[in-house]
Amino acid sequence: MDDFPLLSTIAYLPLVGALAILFAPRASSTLPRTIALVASLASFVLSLVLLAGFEHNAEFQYTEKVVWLDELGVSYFMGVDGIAVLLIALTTLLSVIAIWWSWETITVRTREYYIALLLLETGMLGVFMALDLFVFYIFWEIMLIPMALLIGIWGSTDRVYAAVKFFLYTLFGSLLMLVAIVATYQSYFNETGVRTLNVLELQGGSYGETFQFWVFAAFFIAFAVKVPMFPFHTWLPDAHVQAPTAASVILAAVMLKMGGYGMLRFNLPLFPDGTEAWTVAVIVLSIIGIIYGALVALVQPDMKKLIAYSSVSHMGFVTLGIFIMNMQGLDGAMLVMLAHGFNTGALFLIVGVIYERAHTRDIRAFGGMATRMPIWSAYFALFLFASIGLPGLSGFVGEFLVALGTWDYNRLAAVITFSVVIFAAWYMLWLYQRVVFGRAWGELPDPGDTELTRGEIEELAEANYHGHLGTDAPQPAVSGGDHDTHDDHDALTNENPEEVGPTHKGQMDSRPWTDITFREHLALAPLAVLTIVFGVYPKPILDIVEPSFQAILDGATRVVGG
Amino acid sequence: MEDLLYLIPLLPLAAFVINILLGRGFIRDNAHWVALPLVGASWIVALLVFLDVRDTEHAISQHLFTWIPAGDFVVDVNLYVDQLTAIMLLVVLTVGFLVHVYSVGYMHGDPGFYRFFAYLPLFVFSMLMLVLADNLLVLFVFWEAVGLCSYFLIGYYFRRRSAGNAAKKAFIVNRVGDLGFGLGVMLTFWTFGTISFYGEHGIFEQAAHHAELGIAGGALTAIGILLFIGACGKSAQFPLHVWLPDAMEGPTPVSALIHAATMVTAGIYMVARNYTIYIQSESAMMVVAIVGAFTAFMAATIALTQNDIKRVVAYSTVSQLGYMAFALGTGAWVAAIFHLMTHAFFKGLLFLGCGSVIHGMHEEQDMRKMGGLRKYMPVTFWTFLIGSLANAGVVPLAGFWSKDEIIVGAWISDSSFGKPAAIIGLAAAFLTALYMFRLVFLVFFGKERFDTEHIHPHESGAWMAIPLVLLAIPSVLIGFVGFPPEDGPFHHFLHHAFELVEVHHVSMTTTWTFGIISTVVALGGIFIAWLAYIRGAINPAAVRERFEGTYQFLYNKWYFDELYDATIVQPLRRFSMFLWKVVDEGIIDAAVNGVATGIAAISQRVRHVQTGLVANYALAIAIGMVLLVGVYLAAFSDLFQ
Repeated sequence: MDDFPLLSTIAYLPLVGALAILFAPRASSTLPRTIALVASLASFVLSLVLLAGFEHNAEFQYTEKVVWLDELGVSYFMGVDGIAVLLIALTTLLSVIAIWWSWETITVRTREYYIALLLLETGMLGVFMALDLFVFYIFWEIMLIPMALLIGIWGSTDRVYAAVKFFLYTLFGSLLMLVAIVATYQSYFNETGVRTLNVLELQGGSYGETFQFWVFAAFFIAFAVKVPMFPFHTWLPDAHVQAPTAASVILAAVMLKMGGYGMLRFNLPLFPDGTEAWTVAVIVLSIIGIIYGALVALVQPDMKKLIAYSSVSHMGFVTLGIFIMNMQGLDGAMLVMLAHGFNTGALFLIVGVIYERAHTRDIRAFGGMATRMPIWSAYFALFLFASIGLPGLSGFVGEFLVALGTWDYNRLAAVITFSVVIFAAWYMLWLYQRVVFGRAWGELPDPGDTELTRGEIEELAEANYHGHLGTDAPQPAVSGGDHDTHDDHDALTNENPEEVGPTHKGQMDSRPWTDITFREHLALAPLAVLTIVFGVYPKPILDIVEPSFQAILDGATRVVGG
Repeated sequence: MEDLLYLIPLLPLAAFVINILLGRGFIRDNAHWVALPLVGASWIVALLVFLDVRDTEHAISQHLFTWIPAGDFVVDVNLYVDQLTAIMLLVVLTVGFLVHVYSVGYMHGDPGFYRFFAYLPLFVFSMLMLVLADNLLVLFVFWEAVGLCSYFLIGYYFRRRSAGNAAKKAFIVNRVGDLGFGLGVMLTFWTFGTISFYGEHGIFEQAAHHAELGIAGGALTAIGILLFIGACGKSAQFPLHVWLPDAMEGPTPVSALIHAATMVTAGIYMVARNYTIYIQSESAMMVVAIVGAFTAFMAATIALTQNDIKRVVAYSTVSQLGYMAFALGTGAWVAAIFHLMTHAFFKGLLFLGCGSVIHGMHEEQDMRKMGGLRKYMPVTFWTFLIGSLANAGVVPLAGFWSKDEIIVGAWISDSSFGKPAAIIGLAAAFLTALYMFRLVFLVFFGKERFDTEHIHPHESGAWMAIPLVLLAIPSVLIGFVGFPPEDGPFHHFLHHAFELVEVHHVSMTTTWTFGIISTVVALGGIFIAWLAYIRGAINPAAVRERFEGTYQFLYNKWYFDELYDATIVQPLRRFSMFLWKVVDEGIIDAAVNGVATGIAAISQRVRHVQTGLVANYALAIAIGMVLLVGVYLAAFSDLFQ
């Protein structure tokens, strides 16, 4: 087994799947999704094998090295440490779920859709495995195009704008990263006379302080856009809102983690002086992002946008945890990355469920879902409380550890950071109350309940709160099934909401809403289990990553100290 | 016994898991047959543990697993039972079990029956873990977990908008407290290097010897105050008390168990648990005492004017929690826990009695529409009367002994705030008797003020009546475990949990004097209520007109809700809106779009088919990229030299 290229197998199985779909007979409409599911499942199973065989130390394991362009110092070099191995497992799991979710919801251009999804998976896996900057960059760019296509082709009304914005933002980052890679390569060559792009070798180089300052910044911005970190975050709400559910899940659960991963893999080990120079700025921006994301989420009328801004807030914990440079911070950052993967990924599925039934994501259009879809409401509650950091669920441990580490760095920073627990509860419970509690549009109060009808309440509330958004709130159009027809009549932007649903104020909407289907259960249940298990017992994760973090911390103190 | 500790929380947890997973599909209206036996079994184990601790006089503990190992920050999940925990276990499980029984009758026929009997054991589990925790973070975990149960149970009638609002408010206000608690945990860790309570290097051992260890006293004060902010949230102390009255939106058994007997006392328990830290810091104790005394008085004044039967009792709870807090702050540790215990029984009883009244009156909660219920529901009346007498502190019922001890404790304490606190306590005791008997007279005496043709009040069935009787017994008798005052079996038992506290010798004269003053004050309150609502010698309406301003101020709960809305909620909403519309969309996004438009203007080919756009941009950027790299290589490197 020692020589078996496990990493490459995991990374290229989806690519093989994509090629298979490309050459499969066009006539079959079910073949593409079957191939995609099999390929991604195989990749997932192998990543579990990888995880099981991973030894708990700081060494890079399962390495594969083939000299590629010898004269330029490029080699095909793959390997994983504790950080990468967990993110790989997260990626393969979420890819399976994303493909399974698309099973019936994607009805147009299915071949191309699954090809894009599989290509994306290969790109993401490669990013987490590559230890050669050239290979890393190739995977980094591979991942970009399918995601832009997923948003631009299978997205909602404003999909092209969102796709272009996403593409431009990330490409801007990639560009800076390319410059930084070349500069590092050159500097190392000048110093040692060796041409190499091997990350581990480059870590041994000593770079001038000014050089580190600028090159660090170039790498950092590339990753900060991906995270996304305030103020590079504005592509995220648009991308999420427009993206199809599966793409939103991948985007939130995996792609945002590339930023944090990149910082851990490149910024910290390669440029300790640069890290030191930029630390304060990064920490300040992270804390701004944490609070800013939560506050902006507080006033969002669109569910996906609300969750997108909450992501900005959560991911602030990741960058903060990485740069405060202690074990609690790093452990916390890792746990936040994984927990955010489960929870926010799941929350996008949750929104996907009702979007596919009601064709709107406007919070004002919903109410009383607990009566109509009790199981959905229960899943929603679970992931929502995990997301706002309820102890015992996965979100808490990471955020607490980051705040704990921050306290050691600066008390005031910790106080501001941790105060987000109030705002997080505020926006999420507001969302939950509006959507799940209460009564649906026009539904009459229960006997003995003296309250106004829902429509009357809404009218009052509109007058008070949402006057600036227009007085006519859109209402859900119920399809009853779980097919997303992807018509362009997105209720959010529809000028005349009365056309969207036949209901109007004061009239009971008695049509049935299908609760969670078996297919949806199968996608949500694993995430539910994971979010509980890692909330109660995060030790296995910490055991895997701690040696790698210790190495990073040792490296940082060694160079800074010396 | 150590090896069986895990059973105490596990059994209620099992009831939750079974009912939440299978309740909807299979168990439905039989959910109580899952919850009752399991919670009852837990009670038996807890009783055995209690006896074990009593006999051996040693704390026992059980290691479960290591939760977080993050560098030198290691958190274990251990169960720990000392005398304090043993008492809390019995209080939680006794009241908890009786409330379960009562709920079978109260929630009968409710469509969410199984859901109710899932949340209730989950709460019992969380509360048990909270008192079993042997370090601050695990305590914090279940501190939030009981808040979660509270959220779901307040919002149980989720179709009512007011219930949803109340649930949300309770959670968010508690989160403000949790922020303080969480920061307190962090400061504890960075001060002591651990968050475990006990052991050689535990925080209590270090706090007791902080001077020798070179730990600043200021840190202890800060920890004490931060933790108390948490207690203010959970135990509804000023300024975070606003959620508790609204929490009455939940079903009445929930109000009895969570919002009167157990969860709201978690803050008191937590401060008592950390007494070693507090006794090192006069300032922290002072804060606790002042906040507690103020809350005790303020809530009592509000309770005078409310018309909703549950709200009166809710404000009474806030007030009694204030007593416990100032007892803690003046160093009367045992008295605080004593009052916590007696209060759990009689306030649980009062809430269950309210539920019985509301049930019998067909969901009517307004006292102005009641009256004369004495003859319709005798069991409810007599048990409620016992609860009211106990709450008012009439000798020899349970509330008398504990409340009196708090007031004496404050009076003789070394704290400079001790004597003012005792006087405020007596004033609040007068108000307590007054509002409790205003309620009793309005509800159970006088003429029926409801439509007797359509509403036929009735006594509740056995499921509800039996718990009332069973809670009435300790409401009368439990006070005697603290007899003679300061020297009863209760004090001897708890002494081990508060070893470092100096025992004050209280002279017989002081004890008798305060006993008589308390009794006179309580009877005075009852007498005035009698004059006003039975005899008619005082006309409440006239009093109200005379002091209209004061009345409105009290009736509107000192305008705290309005104040918070105007100074915090609305400004924050506007600021968030500003961040979104102006900063996010107006500045950052506009800049990005401006750049994009600029590029678009240069590139003439962008007005093509939509999906072509991406490729065009890709091309443009790729060319730019090559250019940039080329420039770099040519100008700044020696690659081409």
